[in-house]
Amino acid sequence: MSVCIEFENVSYAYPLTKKAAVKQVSFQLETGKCYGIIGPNASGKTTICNLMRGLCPNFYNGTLKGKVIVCGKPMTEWDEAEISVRIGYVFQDPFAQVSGIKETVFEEIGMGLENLGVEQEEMMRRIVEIAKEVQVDHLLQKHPLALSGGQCQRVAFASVLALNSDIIVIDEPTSQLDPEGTEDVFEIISRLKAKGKTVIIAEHKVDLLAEYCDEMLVMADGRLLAKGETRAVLADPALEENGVQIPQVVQLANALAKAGKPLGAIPVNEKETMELLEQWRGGRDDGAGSK
Amino acid sequence: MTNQEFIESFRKYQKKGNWWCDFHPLAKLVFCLSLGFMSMIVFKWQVGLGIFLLASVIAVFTPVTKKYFTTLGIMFLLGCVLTVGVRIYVHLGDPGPVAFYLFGKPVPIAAIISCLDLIFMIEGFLGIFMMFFLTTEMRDLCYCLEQIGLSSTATFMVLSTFACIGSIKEKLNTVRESQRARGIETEGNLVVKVKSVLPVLFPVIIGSMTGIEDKTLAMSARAFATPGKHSALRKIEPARPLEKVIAGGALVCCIAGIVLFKMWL
Ligand SMILES: Nc1ncnc2c1ncn2[C@@H]1O[C@H](COP(=O)(O)OP(=O)(O)OP(=O)(O)O)[C@@H](O)[C@H]1O
Ligand SMILES: [Mg+2]
Repeated sequence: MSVCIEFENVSYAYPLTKKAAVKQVSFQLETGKCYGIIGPNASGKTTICNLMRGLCPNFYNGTLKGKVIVCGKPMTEWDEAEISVRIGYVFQDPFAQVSGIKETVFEEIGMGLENLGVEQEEMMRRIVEIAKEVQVDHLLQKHPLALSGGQCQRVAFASVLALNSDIIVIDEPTSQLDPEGTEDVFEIISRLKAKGKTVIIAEHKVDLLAEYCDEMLVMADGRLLAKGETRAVLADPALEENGVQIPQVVQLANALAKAGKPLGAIPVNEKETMELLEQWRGGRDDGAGSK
Repeated sequence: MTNQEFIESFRKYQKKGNWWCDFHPLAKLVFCLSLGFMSMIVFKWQVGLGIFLLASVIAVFTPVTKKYFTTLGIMFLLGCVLTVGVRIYVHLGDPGPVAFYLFGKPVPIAAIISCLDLIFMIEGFLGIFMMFFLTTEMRDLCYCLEQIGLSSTATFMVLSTFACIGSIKEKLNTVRESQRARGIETEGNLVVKVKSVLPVLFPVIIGSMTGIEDKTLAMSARAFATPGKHSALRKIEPARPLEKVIAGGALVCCIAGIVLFKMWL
């Protein structure tokens, strides 16, 4: 599989700060996979996203050491216009993403397409399609500044999806959403993955991330603590030691393993847990020889 | 309006259903700029009055009649009091034909006319420009300007500035409401209103300005930097021949008027 984003020993400090926000991070992300970035507050998740998109240091300034390579080309050689289409970026704060110059959600979602010079018919078709997908079709006539947090987050998401980027970086897409809305967003993310897009999500809701992501990157205090296949990473005891929240089902599996009664595998969702528990109980019952 | 109707409405030209509001923004701009500058440069009360009356007649046929006349009325009163007072004081006792006596001193006719010139220059200028801004959507004007080659960055800045003013107004309202909730008097005459928002005016304005940095990011996420011409979701009908003629007529009128009054009269 081809590598689409590569970090080579990247360290970065925001301007006027002494402490680096990200320290000596190296990893490779493959095309078409879904990655989750987890870690406690201020561990550098957003900064990693900013680095991938080139906002650090192009927009925020600050000092960058090491190399960020996107699609085989170093970030320094990318043109702002090109990278903004190649990598769609949904920011952590949904309200900051509203353009402020459009009067309806319909036009707000269309704005990116206008910038790309897409023809009107095609533009309308895509806006309607994406609005349906993100479930904001009932909001199309509303003013973008008159939305609730959750609605705004969906509109921001839709506005970025409209660009149809190959790589999509999403920073806490569900911070303002209720559990149902959160599930919806992850549904959309899995559909994006099915279309062959590379998705990178920074999130606190580990339970859902574990279920949907192929791989995980764990950040702690600016360092990359672990990276790899979701189950393997979550089973790593270093996570809990560093205060990284892990899914409840994994906590359960870890606790059982510690008690010398391992589940046999690391589950990532309720269904798997139930099955594993079922087998586990069966095994134990047989062992005990009862019934 | 159902969603389907709403979406369909973008296929057609954007219309308000009022002839002046739907006047092509650029043609309207040329028309109003010409007349406005004519009023300013010629500086004669006859011309100013004429333009002011024209703007007022137009206003009667638009939905903004009331707003137009209240605003202009206030300006007219302010203008009168200020200009008349100052001008008459300055010219008090000047030689020439006398109109009337004030505190025993003669007020010359020339002073009165010079007052009228100033008042109607301002009224004509303000009248026609208010008529323009009250009936034209900035985004439509910007769209048309972009069509004739203005950069999208420039139009974005114009639109953001106007949006920024709007957001300041809104934030001040929020502040007033929260102050009322805390029992601070916010209703009543202008002084009370101003007093209630004054302490937070600067923070609110500064706050709105720092929001611009966020906007830059938001725009960058929408591929704003993409080179080439941007397309538009809203469509504005191209200027009709009659509209072009009216705009052109106003421009000719302006040049002719300036030449006529400045050179020969
Ligand atoms: N614009 C900025 N200027 C200066 N320092 C910053 C800026 N943004 C973040 N930082 C600092 O960089 C570090 C990493 O922050 P970052 O926003 O990447 O964390 P995060 O993991 O996204 O946290 P959260 O879960 O709260 O979103 C923090 O110590 C933070 O204070
Ligand atoms: Mg963050």
